[in-house]
Amino acid sequence: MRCIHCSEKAVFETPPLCKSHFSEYFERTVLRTINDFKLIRKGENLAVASSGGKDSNVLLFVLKKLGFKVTALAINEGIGGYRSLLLDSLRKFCLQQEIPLKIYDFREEYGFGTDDIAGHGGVCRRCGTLRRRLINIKAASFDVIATGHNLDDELQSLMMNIVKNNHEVAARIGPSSGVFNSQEAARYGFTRRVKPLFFLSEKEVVIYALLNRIPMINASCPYSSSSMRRHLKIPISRMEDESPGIKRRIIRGFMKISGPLKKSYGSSRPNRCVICGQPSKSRICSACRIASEIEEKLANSH
Amino acid sequence: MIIAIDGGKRRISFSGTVRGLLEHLSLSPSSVVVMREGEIVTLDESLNNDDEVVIMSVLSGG
Ligand code: SF4
Ligand SMILES: [Zn+2]
Ligand SMILES: [Zn+2]
Repeated sequence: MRCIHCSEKAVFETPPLCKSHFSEYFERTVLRTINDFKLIRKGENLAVASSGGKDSNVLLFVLKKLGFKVTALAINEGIGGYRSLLLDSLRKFCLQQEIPLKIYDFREEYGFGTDDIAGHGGVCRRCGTLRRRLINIKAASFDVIATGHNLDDELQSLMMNIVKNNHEVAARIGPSSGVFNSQEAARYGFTRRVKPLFFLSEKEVVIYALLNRIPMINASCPYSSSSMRRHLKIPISRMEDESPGIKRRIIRGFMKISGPLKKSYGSSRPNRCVICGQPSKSRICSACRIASEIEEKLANSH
Repeated sequence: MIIAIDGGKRRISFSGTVRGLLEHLSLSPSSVVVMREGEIVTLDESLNNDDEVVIMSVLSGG
């Protein structure tokens, strides 16, 4: 198979593109997503929520290459043999790419790590909520938080939220998301959350990483429990095999109806958590509730 | 042919296209990237029985 632009050997099929034209296509798609959805303005300070995994590494690399001012923000949840491995790789990668990196530690910030709360049930929900809040707090001085969510992540989330009857959450799926959209976030003084890889599939992210020698560490979290997400992956990729491009068509189609859908849910002025000041529907946010629950449990078990 | 897949290596007897190999292994083409000698190969490329092939799953992680 030959590249449709230059007749070099293709590394990608839909459409056939060679190494350099694939990278160009990838970067153009990121830039177009940023411009079309007004995700980032010139000169803004960007925090990239970095895990050390392939998606956030690719995001750091491509945003820097496109000329944006990026800093990597990482959280060490305290998961021995997993996050430590990824963070070692992230340190090397950021050093090599001359990207500033800041790592914040659960044990320092909360007094416990995820390993300490294993066995108390619902590890993932707690760990994820606490990490999100810590990133939000630490990114407060930045204009934007960018995350590495790709097309596959978002399509899975869309399907999961529809199946689980979380229609309002589903309606908010898009390249700029989080609890509030960009305008709301600015109005209420919260840092915006954006997903520049929103229209790129996981396979495209992997190919871009391979072509640009971006590290991809093969490690999975011992507590990972999103079984529904995992079960959706295979049928979705079978669908893509049968009908190449269908994933992107579904997400693009959804973006056409999600605007009015979001509006139909209205936007109410968010509250702030009385403890941490982060956006919250109730007086105390779920992260603060989880943190105090865990502290109590750990104190009682001593 | 030697195939390295998800960290393990195995030997199978196969010659044909990359698409054929994935069918033979019941793998979905959109969920993997196939490489030979460190280079990505597309689905239409032919593989010989003495090739060494790496199959990377792209849907890993949690
Ligand atoms: S998979 Fe779950 S437990 Fe592991 S790091 Fe992610 S949120 Fe935390
Ligand atoms: Zn080309
Ligand atoms: Zn709070």
